[in-house]
Amino acid sequence: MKPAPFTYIRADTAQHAVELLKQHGDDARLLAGGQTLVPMMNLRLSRTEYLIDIGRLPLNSIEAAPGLLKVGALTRHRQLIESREAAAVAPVVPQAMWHIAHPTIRNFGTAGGSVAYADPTAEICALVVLLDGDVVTLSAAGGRAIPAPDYFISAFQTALQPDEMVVAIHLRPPAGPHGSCFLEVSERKGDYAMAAAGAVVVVNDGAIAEARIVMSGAKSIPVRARAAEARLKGARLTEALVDEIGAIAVEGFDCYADIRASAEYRKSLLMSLVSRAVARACDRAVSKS
Amino acid sequence: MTAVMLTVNGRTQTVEVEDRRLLADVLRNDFGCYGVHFGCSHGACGCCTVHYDGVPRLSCLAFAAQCDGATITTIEGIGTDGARHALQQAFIDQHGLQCGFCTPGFIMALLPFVERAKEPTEDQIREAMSGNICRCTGYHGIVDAVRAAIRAHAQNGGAS
Amino acid sequence: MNAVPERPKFLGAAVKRLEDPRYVAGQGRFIEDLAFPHTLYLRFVRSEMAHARINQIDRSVLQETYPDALLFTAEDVGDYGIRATADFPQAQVSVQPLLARGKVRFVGEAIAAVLTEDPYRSEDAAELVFVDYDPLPVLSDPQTALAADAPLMFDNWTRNVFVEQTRTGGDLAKARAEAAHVIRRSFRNQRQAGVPMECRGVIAQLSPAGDYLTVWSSTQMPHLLRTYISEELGWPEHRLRVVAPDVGGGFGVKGHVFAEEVLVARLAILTKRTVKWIEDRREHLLASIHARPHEHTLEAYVSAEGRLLGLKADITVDVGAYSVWPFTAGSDPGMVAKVLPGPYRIEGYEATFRAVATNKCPVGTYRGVGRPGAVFSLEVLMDEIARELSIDPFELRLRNVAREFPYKNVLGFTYDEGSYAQCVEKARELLAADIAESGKLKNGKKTGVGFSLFIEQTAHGTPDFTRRRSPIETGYESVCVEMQPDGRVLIQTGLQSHGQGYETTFAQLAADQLGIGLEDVVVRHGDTLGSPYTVGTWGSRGAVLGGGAVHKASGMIRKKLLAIAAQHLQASPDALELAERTARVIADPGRAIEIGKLARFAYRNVEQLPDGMEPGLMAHGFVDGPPDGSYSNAVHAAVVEIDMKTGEMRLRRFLVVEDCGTVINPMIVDGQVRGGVVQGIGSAICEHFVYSDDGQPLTTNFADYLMPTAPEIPPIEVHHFVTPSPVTPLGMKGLGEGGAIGPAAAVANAVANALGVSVRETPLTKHRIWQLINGVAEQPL
Repeated sequence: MKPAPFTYIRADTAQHAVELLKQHGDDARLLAGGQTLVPMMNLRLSRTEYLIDIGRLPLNSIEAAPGLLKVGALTRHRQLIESREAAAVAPVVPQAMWHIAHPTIRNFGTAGGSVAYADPTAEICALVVLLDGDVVTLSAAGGRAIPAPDYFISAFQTALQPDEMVVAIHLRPPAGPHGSCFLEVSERKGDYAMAAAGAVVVVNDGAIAEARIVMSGAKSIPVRARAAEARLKGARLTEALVDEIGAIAVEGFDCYADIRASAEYRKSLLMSLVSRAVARACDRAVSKS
Repeated sequence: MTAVMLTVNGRTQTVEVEDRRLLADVLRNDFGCYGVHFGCSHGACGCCTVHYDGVPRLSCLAFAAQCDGATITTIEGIGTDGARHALQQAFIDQHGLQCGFCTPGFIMALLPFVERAKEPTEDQIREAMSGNICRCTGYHGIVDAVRAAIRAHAQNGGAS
Repeated sequence: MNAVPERPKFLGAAVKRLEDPRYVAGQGRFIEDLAFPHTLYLRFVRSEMAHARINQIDRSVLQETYPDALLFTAEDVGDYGIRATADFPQAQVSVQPLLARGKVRFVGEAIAAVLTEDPYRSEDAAELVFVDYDPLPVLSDPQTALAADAPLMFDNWTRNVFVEQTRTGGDLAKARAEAAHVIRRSFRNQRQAGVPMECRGVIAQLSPAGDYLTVWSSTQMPHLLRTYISEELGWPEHRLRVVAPDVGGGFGVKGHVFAEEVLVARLAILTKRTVKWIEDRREHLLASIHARPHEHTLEAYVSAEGRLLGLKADITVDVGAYSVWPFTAGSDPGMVAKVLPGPYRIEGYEATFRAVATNKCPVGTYRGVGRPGAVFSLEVLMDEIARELSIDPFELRLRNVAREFPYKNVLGFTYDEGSYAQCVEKARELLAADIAESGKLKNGKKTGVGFSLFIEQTAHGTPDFTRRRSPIETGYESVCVEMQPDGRVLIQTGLQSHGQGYETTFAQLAADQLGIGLEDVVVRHGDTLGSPYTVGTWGSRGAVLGGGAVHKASGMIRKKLLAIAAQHLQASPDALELAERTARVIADPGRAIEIGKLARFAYRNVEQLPDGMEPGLMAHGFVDGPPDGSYSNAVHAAVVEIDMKTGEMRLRRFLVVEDCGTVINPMIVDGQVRGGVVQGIGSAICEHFVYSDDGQPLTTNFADYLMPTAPEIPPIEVHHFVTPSPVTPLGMKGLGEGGAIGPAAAVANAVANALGVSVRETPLTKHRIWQLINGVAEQPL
């Protein structure tokens, strides 16, 4: 289980990296944290002629302001989980990221790597969708910010062009006090999620001013539960509404099946997780305001 | 081929390696650190854990070529025959190992936790070792070892 | 031989392990760590088809791209293989060739071997060997394999069954006639892999003159491997040495002789180079051995008072493509049929077992062998009986267990002294609070309590192996104990310690006999050069039989030392003791002579020895196990908490009440129990090796084959009874496998208790628990 041969190049700058991408096209891959890419290479499921190491580029800053959290692409998961500034403006971020793999992987896995890979159950991808994020990229032709709905296309498929590199993700949590919760069910702690739901809720005078809900496991990309969000807007949360919200969220979805979970089970999980996440997010929102 | 300068357990050496050569293989074969073990080669078992610039890292998921200039500590750099680290001693005292194959990986992964945690809960201790698989001990002795090491660490005023 | 030494110092002491210092420092040396110059690294080309004829193996691209690479196929290597025949009438024979000959029978079967001077390069080269297959219909499961039109696994077979037999005992017809209830249930356990953390590996090296062959292998049975290689390759056994270095876990997985081992030896002979093969994790999951894929149907004949009068069983095991050596394809199903009566006073018994061949990795002996499956079926059945008759499950066990010993069971096996009832009562006491809370819905969760009672036959003696009619004919273990001229001791054994702590426990036993310190004893294990013949470390026998042999051989040296000392101290040997590195008069300890001096006499100043005494202080100890082995017993209990919406299950508590007789080192015993328990929990909740319908493996890495990590496991409480065996050295009983035998039944019974539904299969994944909550029948995913 040794990787196939390649030529290693360390990129000196982000510009250098994208120029190399342009130059080598499909023959090149970027190496960030390597926690997903290198296992694939060791298993020889992934091969490349040129491996462009961007791991030391200074793209690991975290800028936190109310309503806007900017995370550099090379921010390591652990760094982001432990960031008090990030937690202050977007507590759902550490809540979600705690589910990623295990501590040693979190030391080196990166936000940009996760977003570029676009595993359907990746927590960072769910956060980008939940928090109306942009994926900020760079290519030889320049930079752009791709909004989440345009970015995620399908499992492992994004809007990234072959010569384009993620340099940051911009997340937009609610600017004021809000409550959040991220729940996940996986076979063991840290395994790929069978289903996950994240909720952020703003409560004013006992009524929900704003609710955002994301689900992983409903489709091949994270999806917002728009109908459920609409139902919650302006509502007061009752037990009956909590139960109803989960059902609304999964209405019409044919979740996928694999050796871990059937479609029915996933759907049932999402129903439960959405209801619970919303309830807990509301509790937290209320206790903050 | 790439020239890579590594400081491993205090010794600095430059080696010329094939670009794809895994850090774990270089540590084992070029630096003689056979305590770094391959358990799965895909990052799921923790047997190959080393410290990379002070931080636990899976050495099967890094290419030596990307590690130029790094400071690496392996199990061979922890404690000495005469003076083991409190965690190593705790593994012995609490029967935290049986076949010994996963042991270096557990120790390297847990060292920062042992040195920083203050009165962790059982769940927190188990979470700290969630990336390491042991088939022999059932984890019970390892959890005991972590607790014992944290106690010893606290008693020594934070030094191990 | 059976007596505990007077005033033992180390027997029963939780001594810290002597092997640990090297492991915590990374100074263990495992097979991959052994390096030799000019080594050729072997990479296998393995089958991608589950069942196919091999039309052609195209080496042209390889030869062009890697002209330095050597390629071997079956034709190049010769007609050698693994022949594991069960000596039953109508048992069908398989031979697994070292490299596939004409046909492949499971994905992962080795087809060719590629050798270069670098392991990375060998892997590159192996990718350029192109195999052209003619697919054959896949025997994907026992039902398909037993169908009338199923293709035959081997040309000379009549059907796809390695062996099928029926065992009977007592009077089943009478039991059936007297029964007030007939309760019939079917049970299923999934295919698993044993997964030691260290994969397999083999190195073989000819001496420069070509007349001596050394083979290093990560094996549990060095002598059996040596004999097999010798007999199969025709290489004289006295010119063959097998060494097991530090071994990173075995669990029975490495208690086989594998095609890869014999092949590496063969290639060293052919190439006259050192040949090294280190398995990777994917290969290990595909092609080492699998375990536990059982389907049982049990029919219990029960009296009105809940007495289990008789039991009828039908047992099918999906054993894969080849019979494994030495335990054969019949070992799992045969074991179930043998042990199913368990601790209960059953009076009529009939069990039919069959080993069905399918296009999958061969099934071998993994911790517990067929016993986890047998105990699963029987103990879940007992709970079902309890529910149906409205009898408390603890009470039901107590009404049925054997209590007077020796007890001869329905198959004629004799159980030595045990504490079956006491363990049940103790467990009930420890679980009282959890039982009171069980079944109630609280905060959306329900808790349940379940347990299993079982006995484990350990330390089997030769008669037991003769009965099994497998290629292992013999049940003894042996050691050589040699006191050095300075009074320190070297123990050599062909047992291989890969977690059991023999370097410590054997030292404890020798130190007690010889009155020396633990640091005065070193145990060398796993090397056929210098150690007497032994069948190896498996079957929960190493401490009992190997330890017994240490005790016995040390006893012989003790006797000689006392005789030498008696002469020098002018006392009778009976008046002397060995303690604190001296021989001294018990009544007058000042009259003493150092053991080191006595040893020097024995080797260097032999004129000081009593007349007629031969020089030297070396003894060879053999211990064969009792004819029916010795039975340890245990209760395993689980307290589970289930989220009724999501099916998530948390193990709140797991406890063990066990009895393995006299204990050498309680710390090591607890460790063995806990390690086994967590493997058993893995069997219960998450470990599942999955094949598709066309025989393609779907769980070939640790992201898909899931084993418990620390967060899934609670602290494992272990409580002990000590009932020494009257038929073993020092009254010890084996326990190495016990931990893995009980958990699946305990967890299943706990889930059934929580949910109020019948739970008769594993694994109890989150998905499966959700299905059970929602009344959804099990469907293949």
